[in-house]
Amino acid sequence: MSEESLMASDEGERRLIAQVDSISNQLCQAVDGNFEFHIHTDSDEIALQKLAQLNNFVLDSVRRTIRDLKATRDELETRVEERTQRLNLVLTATNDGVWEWDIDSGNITLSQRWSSMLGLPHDGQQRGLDDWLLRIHDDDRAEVQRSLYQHIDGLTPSVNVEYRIRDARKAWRMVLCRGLCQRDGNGVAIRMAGTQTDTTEQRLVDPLTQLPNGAYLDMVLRERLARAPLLPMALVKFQLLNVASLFDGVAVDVAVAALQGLVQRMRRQLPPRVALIALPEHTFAMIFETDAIERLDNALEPLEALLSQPVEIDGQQVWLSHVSGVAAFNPAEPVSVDEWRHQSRLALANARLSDVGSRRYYSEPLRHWERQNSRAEQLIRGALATRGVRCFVQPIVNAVTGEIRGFEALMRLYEPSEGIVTPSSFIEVAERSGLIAPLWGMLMEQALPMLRDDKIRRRFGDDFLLSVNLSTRQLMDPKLLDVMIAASARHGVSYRRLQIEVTETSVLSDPIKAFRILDRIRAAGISVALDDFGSGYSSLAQLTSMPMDTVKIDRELVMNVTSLPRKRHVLSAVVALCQRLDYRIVVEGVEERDTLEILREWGVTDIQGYIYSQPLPLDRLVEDLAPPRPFRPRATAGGPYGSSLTSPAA
Amino acid sequence: MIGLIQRVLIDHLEIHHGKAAVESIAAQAGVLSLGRRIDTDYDDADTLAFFAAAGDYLELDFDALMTLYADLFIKWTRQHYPIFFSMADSAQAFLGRQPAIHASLGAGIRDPHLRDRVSDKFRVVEKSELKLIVDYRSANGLCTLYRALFLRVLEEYGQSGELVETRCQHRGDEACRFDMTFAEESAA
Repeated sequence: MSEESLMASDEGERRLIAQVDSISNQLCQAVDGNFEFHIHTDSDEIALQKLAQLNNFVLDSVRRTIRDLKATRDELETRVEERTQRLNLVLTATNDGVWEWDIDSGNITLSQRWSSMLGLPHDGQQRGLDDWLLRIHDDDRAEVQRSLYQHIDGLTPSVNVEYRIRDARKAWRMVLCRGLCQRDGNGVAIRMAGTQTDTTEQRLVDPLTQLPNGAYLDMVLRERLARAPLLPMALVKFQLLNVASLFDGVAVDVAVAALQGLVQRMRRQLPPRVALIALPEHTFAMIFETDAIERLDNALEPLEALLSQPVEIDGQQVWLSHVSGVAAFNPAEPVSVDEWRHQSRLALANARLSDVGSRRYYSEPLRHWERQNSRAEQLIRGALATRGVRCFVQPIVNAVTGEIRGFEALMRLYEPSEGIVTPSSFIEVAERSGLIAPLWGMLMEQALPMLRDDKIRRRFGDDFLLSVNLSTRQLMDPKLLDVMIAASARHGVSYRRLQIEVTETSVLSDPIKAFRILDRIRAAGISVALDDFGSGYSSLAQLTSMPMDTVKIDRELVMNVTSLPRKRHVLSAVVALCQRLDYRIVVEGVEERDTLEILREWGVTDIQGYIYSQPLPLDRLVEDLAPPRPFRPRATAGGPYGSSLTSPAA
Repeated sequence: MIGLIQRVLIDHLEIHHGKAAVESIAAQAGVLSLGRRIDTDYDDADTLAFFAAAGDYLELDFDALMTLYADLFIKWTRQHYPIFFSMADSAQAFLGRQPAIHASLGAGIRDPHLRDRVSDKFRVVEKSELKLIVDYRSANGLCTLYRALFLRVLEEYGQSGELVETRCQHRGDEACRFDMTFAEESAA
């Protein structure tokens, strides 16, 4: 190669190198992440043009990729924003707060709604898990922790736990916490997030009255008993007895509105800090910061005064009855929440047995009463299970002729360790609990066959009545007549040989209904007797209005009538009144001949009492009861009978 | 149109017919300055006019000119861009990559609008082992050239196949659509 050629070749190589260098220098712009430039070459060499061209392709590809990534990012951001807005809308609509727990750091992040739900300021700062847990009620905290950790450990598909949490006013709110873990590829929990829903209204508010409910009472009682020092307090339970009257003939929504209005007025009668808490069966609870009876009386007086006024509903006036029970809390002798509630329940139950408007304070005798009730119920249930009902009968005798007018069927229970148990031990509980119905059924199964028992018929004839007692609940049962007719038919006896005995108290619980039922029973041919007349607070008014055939005068009016002239005058007047009103009369509790002498002088014929016979076991009736002899006045009495009115048993 | 297209034809004419022939053809086409840079976009009308004048010079009708040009193009690009060929093991692989290669050739154009026009000229609609559908959208309407290139690429890879132009801008369609199938026995 000539020197000229070599020089030309060197020159060409230097130009080529310079042009490659130029392309490299242009590419240096990319170090700033800037790809918005183009590679240019002046070279006529295809290889250099190709180099520039492909560099431009790479740059263009980078620009396109960046543009695509930016578009994707923008789209994702838009979607995230949209989803966030939708989520916020849902959370706002559901009123839920949001929480997030970073498990490694232990920090939690709470949403503004989470804080505002509890009335807490929201500073957006992260805080420790304990800040949250310490707000939770002591009794619920362990359960919440267990729920969180069980989910972290993978034992549960999610967190779902409801608990009480203290708000900024130091009041308790009920919340439902739901959450879920985010886990890494190995299943290890990284963070947990979820919502907190305020369920206070659902859990702590009575839906009918909108008052705090029993769960709220339980919470408040526990809180009060956890305070130090303990203070004297009283738990009052106040029950409206006849709320059903509000609903009689009135649209339900009208009655509910009236009840809600009444409840609000009741609330206003109480001191502002005393919550009125709704419990089942129209019972309300209040906690007072005193155990002094006088102060409690004063505090409850406005409430009782309100209820002494009728409730206006649909243009009508309805008076509501009430009773109340009070359990005082003495800090010197603290009791548990359950015991305190139990005491108030006992006091209220006892008040319900008394007149309307009664208030009972818990005392130890109530505990004894409760034990008796409990024992009575066990006795009844045992008797029902073992067919331990025993039928005893006591004759009602026509003293003039000695005829048996009827037998009153009396219930006794047989208890293996105690033997025969008299009604005073169980009848009240049986009536209150409704167990009287199956007991009565068993009694009738034993009593009805006596009406066709050959030995009894031969001894006492075919005309005597079988008289049976009815409780209030049974009397008000619209199926009562059908039940008696069916039972009689089952035993092949006439139901017209039945007589029912009802008390004035039973009838007065709902006189209109009771009179309607008694009318039907009498129309069917079954006799009706007013039992125990003269005991307790009897009213002469019933004698003129009640549908009945017979008045049974209670032993209370008869006792000591021979020695107490004033009592004799009263009995005489009652007998005369019944005779004037054309009722048949049975005098109960006659034990002495002198009493019988007097009653005979007044024209009374039908007698029930020890003078003829004490109640006898039905299966011993024929053996133990001889046919009574006709009464002979003392002047003509004597002879072999002496003072005895029954002949020796056959 | 990207300069590489006319560069292939210019090189052929110069080598086989001389520089004077090139200048004559350019003058016949009314092109004052004939661009030779492969990385530069030249006026479409000039390029098309140069192609038409070359056809006249060579006494070839348009289809014959396109067939010739396809052969020239494949040879030229195989020389200067051999990697594009070695990257593809079949005609369908080469033609499937062709839109991207075309875009790379236009990447040096500074005007983004023009650059996008070049880049978006070809679009793969469907691609499978023995089937390829490509859309071609250009005011130049050089679908005849694509058909010729298809046959030449098949030849290059020793394959057989068929191209059906199901849509065509010359028939009023928005774009031309090439529905290509490749014989199975040659695909491996």
